[in-house]
Amino acid sequence: MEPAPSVAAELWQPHHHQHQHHLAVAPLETSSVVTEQSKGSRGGGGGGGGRGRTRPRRDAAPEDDDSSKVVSTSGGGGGGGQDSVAPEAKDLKSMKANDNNGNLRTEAETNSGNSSKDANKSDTLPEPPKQDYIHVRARRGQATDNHSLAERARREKISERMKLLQDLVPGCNKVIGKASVLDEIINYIQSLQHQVEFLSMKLEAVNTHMNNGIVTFPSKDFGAQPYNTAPGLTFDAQTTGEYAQGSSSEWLHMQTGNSYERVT
Amino acid sequence: MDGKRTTPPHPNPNPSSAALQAGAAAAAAESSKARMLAFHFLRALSRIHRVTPVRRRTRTIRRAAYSSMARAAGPRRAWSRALLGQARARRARRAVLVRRRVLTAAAPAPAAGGGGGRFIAAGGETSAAAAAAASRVLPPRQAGEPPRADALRRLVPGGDAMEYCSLLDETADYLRSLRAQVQLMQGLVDLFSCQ
Repeated sequence: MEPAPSVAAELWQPHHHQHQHHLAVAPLETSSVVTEQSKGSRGGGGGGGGRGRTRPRRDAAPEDDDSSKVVSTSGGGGGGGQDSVAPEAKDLKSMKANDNNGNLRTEAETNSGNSSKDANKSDTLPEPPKQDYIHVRARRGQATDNHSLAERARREKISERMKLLQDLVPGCNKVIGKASVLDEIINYIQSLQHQVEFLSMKLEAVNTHMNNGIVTFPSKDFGAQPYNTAPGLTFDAQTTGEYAQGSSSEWLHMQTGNSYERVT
Repeated sequence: MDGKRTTPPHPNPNPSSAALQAGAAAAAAESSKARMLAFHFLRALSRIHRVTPVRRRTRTIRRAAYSSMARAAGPRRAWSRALLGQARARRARRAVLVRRRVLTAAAPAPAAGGGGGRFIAAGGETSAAAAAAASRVLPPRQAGEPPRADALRRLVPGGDAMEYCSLLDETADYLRSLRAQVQLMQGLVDLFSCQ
């Protein structure tokens, strides 16, 4: 709601300079751009007045000329709620945020037209809040029924998840194209699974060697035995004291015994 | 169980598991999920070294790795549920085989009823697995899905019955978990084998 009066206030400023043109042009504008809201009509009239400033000799512009101007600049003053303007696809293209309406004053018309054509993302329309729906802007030539909207939302979700996956897989940023990204992901998962297999073999080998090396090992003499073969293992005197407790061993055996079915 | 919150389980006079306790203390990461992974995996590892005969250990260690991954991820994820279901079906099948051996050795009447119940349960699970494998032929509702997604479905556990969108989500989570598991195992190997 707030942008509409402020932008309309912005747009009203040029009209102070050109009162005669405004008076000539505005009724044509308001009649061509049929709106349900006064604010919308003001925005439409303001946009038309803004256009009228740069083309002062267009007083006798007929309505269809104005509507074509709306289309060609893609959205100037037609920023008001113009759901009822006839060409619907172009109409959706011309529905813009009202800050672009403000830009029309400062930039040339063609430039603003190009920039507005480029900025075709699905934004929510700030001005007419008369419905509870989210207004989604369609790109040029795209349909706007429910199915394609859902399709588009789904495709965006998929692309965003692909981006997440690209960040996860190292070296995937350089690849472009969905197919090769998928290939990279598949290769990475396969290599990780092979690594799990290989490491499980190594773990088994390492542990059996360690078990064989420490064959006769009474529990109390833990601290006395030299553990120099594995310097990574830190054994304090305190922890070795705990090893001698029989209750802790029973606790562990009980735990692993109970979880026999749970852990494969 | 409070063991999940504390970093290492209780120390054990058994030498290999004692080394494993130290390994747990050294390899425990900051995040709770990595800690849970380490806890489950190390406990399974110590049990394997105590119980399992040598010739089948590699396979069992690999299965324990996936099971501990699934347990650390929790039941909220489709892939972890699928992995735990696979492990459960495998155990049921093994129990059925054991029962069958017991029955053929000596055939008492009450054991037949219990064994029959086990057969039916295992048969149900295996047929469900077969049905899931067959349903891969008919893809579930994929519109803009590339043909390579089929290979992805085979790699990620439980990926057959998912839409493409959720498949990507599950893949990301599975990748993170898999990477954590590989890091843990690599750290353990480094720890145990510095000579």
